[in-house]
Amino acid sequence: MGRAIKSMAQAGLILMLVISCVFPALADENLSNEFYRAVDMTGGLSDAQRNTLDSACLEFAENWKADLSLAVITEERCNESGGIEATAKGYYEDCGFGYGPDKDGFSVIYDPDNDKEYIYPIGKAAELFDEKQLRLISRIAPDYEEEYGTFGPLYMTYRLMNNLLESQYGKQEQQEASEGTKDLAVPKAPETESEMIAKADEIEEEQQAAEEAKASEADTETDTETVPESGGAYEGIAYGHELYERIESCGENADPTRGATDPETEADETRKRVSDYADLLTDEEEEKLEAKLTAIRRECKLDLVFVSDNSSYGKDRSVYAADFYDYNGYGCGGDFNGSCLFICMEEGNRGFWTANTGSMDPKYTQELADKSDDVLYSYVTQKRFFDGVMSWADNMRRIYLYGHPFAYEWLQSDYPKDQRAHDYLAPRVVDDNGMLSEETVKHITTSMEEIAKAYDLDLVIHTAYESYEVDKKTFADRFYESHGYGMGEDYSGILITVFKPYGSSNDVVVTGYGRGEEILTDTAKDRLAWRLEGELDSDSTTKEEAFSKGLSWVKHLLQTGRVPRSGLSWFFSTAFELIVALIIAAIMRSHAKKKMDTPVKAENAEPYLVKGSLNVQYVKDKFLSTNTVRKYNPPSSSSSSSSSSGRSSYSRSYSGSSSRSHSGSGRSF
Amino acid sequence: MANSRSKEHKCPNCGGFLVYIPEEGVLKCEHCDSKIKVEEYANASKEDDLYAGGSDEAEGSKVEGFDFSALKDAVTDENAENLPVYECRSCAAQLIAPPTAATISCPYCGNHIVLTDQVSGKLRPDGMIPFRYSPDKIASAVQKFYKGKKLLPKGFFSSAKIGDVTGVYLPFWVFDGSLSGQMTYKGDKVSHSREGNYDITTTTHYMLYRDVSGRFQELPVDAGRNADDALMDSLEPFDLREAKPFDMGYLAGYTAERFDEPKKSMTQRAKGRMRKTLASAALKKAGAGFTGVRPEGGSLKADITAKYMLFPVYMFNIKDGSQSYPFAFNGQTGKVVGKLPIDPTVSRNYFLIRFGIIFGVLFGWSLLKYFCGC
Repeated sequence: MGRAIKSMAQAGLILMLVISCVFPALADENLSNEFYRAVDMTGGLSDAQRNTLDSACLEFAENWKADLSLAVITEERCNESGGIEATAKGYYEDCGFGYGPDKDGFSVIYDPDNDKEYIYPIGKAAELFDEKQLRLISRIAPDYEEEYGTFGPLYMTYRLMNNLLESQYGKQEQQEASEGTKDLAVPKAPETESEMIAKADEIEEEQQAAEEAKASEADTETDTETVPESGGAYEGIAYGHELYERIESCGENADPTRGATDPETEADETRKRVSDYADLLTDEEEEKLEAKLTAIRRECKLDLVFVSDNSSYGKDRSVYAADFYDYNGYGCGGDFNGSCLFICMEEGNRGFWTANTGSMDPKYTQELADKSDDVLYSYVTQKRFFDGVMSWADNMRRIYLYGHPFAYEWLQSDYPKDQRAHDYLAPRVVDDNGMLSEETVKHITTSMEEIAKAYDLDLVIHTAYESYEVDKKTFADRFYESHGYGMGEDYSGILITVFKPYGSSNDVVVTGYGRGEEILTDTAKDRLAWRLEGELDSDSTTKEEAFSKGLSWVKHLLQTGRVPRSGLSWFFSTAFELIVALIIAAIMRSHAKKKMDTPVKAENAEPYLVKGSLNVQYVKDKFLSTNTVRKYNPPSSSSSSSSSSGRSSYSRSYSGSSSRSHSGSGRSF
Repeated sequence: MANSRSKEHKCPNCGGFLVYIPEEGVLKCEHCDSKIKVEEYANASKEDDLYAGGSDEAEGSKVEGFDFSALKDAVTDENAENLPVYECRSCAAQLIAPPTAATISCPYCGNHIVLTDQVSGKLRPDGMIPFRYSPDKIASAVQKFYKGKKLLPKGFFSSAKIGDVTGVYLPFWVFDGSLSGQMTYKGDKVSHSREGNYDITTTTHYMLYRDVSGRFQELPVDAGRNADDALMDSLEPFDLREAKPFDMGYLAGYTAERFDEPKKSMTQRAKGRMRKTLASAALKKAGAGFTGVRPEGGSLKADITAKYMLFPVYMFNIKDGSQSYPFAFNGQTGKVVGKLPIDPTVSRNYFLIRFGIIFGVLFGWSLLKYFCGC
């Protein structure tokens, strides 16, 4: 089964490569001319560079009777298709490359992620070079990537192979391959094998020196916790820190993506993920958000980045978000996995956009984008930016891990009744919201176990952020049923669910099951929830105290069949009853007074107006004045609402200024 | 000096006094019990020419356009020297009547005397509504009136006594006519819109000009100074379909008064009631399409005529200890009006008892629900 999938993936990749190679250059009868011999799956080659390489390959084949195909493709993509060698050979064969009946030639794969090159001889071409020479070429060629992009290694491979052959077999009469490159900057290759060996040694020394320097810099960062100032890979960091000053000094020209880190540079772990140029967050909030994003990045290799700005510098918000992410050294792994949220506060262009890259990209469907953006929209329209971004981070994490922004797996559908089973070992206090300390959980659990044992009724407490689009009762039911709670055949128990979204007050839902459902009247549920909410929201009560009180009320309920009312509740209800009685009695006395029929002097003559005689004719309406009242009334928010805010703008696949592909969504507000 | 400006209703059979019986609509002899219709008695009286200031004088007495100028002296002169002196035809006693009285009873022989000069010529009413109820209906009507009066002083039902009942024809002017003119109103148009996070409410104010007209019919205005306006207004309505041409026969056995309210105050009162009604009734039509329409001003010209009518009313007092409360009974419809006393203690207790009961029920219900676990 796995093999079949692998074969299909390989076929798919090769098909893509083949399609990329359509429209070839000229060739003789020994060469197929259907496809380009140079192709870059990462999109790094310009047309001129591709044509130059294609001509070079054809000339190489003409001169040395061995074909040459040059492909840029990442190792990860190759692995998805059965490995580098399989991909290289499959691609070579499917494109019909090769010289003569044996299809002699070389298939070259350059992996830009790992900066490595692989050369596979096919047919009699293996006789032209020994393995050592091929390793030498693949060792030198990648070094030209930094200066010339992906064109550098490919072109250098051709030149090195050609030079080695010339040094071995003499210079051939040939049309200079670089003719087509007169407008291109091309690297100068070592002419002989000895020069090549010297060059390879030089490269190795440089790499060692660079690694030592990097290790030294890393040590310095660890010791001082400072960020390097500028230059090299850290240019983008310095840029990020100085952006605000740049905006001040350069105005609209302070594009946050210009001049930053090369998009192909490895992601930088030290880079700050929160860039609040629009100053939407306090320093404390920035720190909390930074910590949360770091935790998510370390937990699931998903790089979440937040940027706010007062301008999008003439770019679409989607492009700004993508460029900010691409050019500032973000992303986890070889595919730069992650998402960037951009909140633009530019007057007339207010909105947000989430740009996704790497593995996150395909997971971010339009449906999920709408759901996630609904929540963010509800927060930002209330100017609750911190809560919004925190919620966004949670949603993105859940999309990445569970495929749904509001997901617990158990929440997605009703738990099958036939699979239901008791789980007496499952924790009875589940603190998904993180509002309880371990010690508190321990204490509460002990109290709950005592009550449960005494009354043969399971007690469960669950804290959550929100109910994720399902109503709270359903949320509670699904949680209870899917976690094996309940005692006896009817799974008797009481579940107390506490919802506490960011920045909001506690919302408690009490649900009963089996015998617990019979004991819990609607009033008992409401009163227990209301009292517990009050205790949880109170600053003077700790969470442990609040839950302890809640459990004592549950105990009281089990003993007497009712939840005790608070003194405040008695006071308010009595006051309400007094007021109602006062009003009704006053109305009754007023009615009695009216019935005394005290004579009143008549002020009008309504009974004497002849029916139908009233005539009113329009003369004119004279305008006097106009006054306008503006009342601030933001849209009401609801974390569980999915349709109140409408749908997002969504892009399945787009790219910013770099060649990376992104998916994304956003809204104006 | 005595004159002949009076009329006595005597039985043509025995010369006894005649009294009008409301339920039967006839004059009845208090001596021989013989009965005679009012119209028949009037014809017989004409032949006998028993009284001066006959029907000729009464013709053309309709008052138009409120021309009271000729009546001014008679209405206002209360100087005893100028008051007319009437002679009782039964016992020849010389009687002086109050200036507004249209009938008197002879204090010597009890004879009912109609002062014909007060109801003839320009003072002759255009019509009258005869009594339909006799005084003996008053007691039951008052008992009915007491029902549902929870705030009366304790024991009021048993201790209160109905005092002397006087059946009296009270003077009313009944106005017909129309009002027309231009009224102005202030009206608003309100529109709502939304800009970003703001609700915008725009209110545009207008002055509305409207031509308004309306016709009123049979609006009664109490024309006697003696009667309390509130009491008289509360007696309304009177059914003018039952009105009869004025006939002195209906006055037999009853007191009657003639108008003495000044012209200005009566017209102002009638016009005021009409204007207020018209402005209020026209408000809805005038302000169609506007919100918050309110009258601002304008002028309405009245084109009205008035009829002088006598309406049947029983006046009496209800006495409770030393306190006396004026009451009136509509002699045509049987409606009772009057100002009953409100006992502050009864009123307070009435409130407190109900308050206590209601609160008790609510609180008890709360307790019950709590202990039932609801």
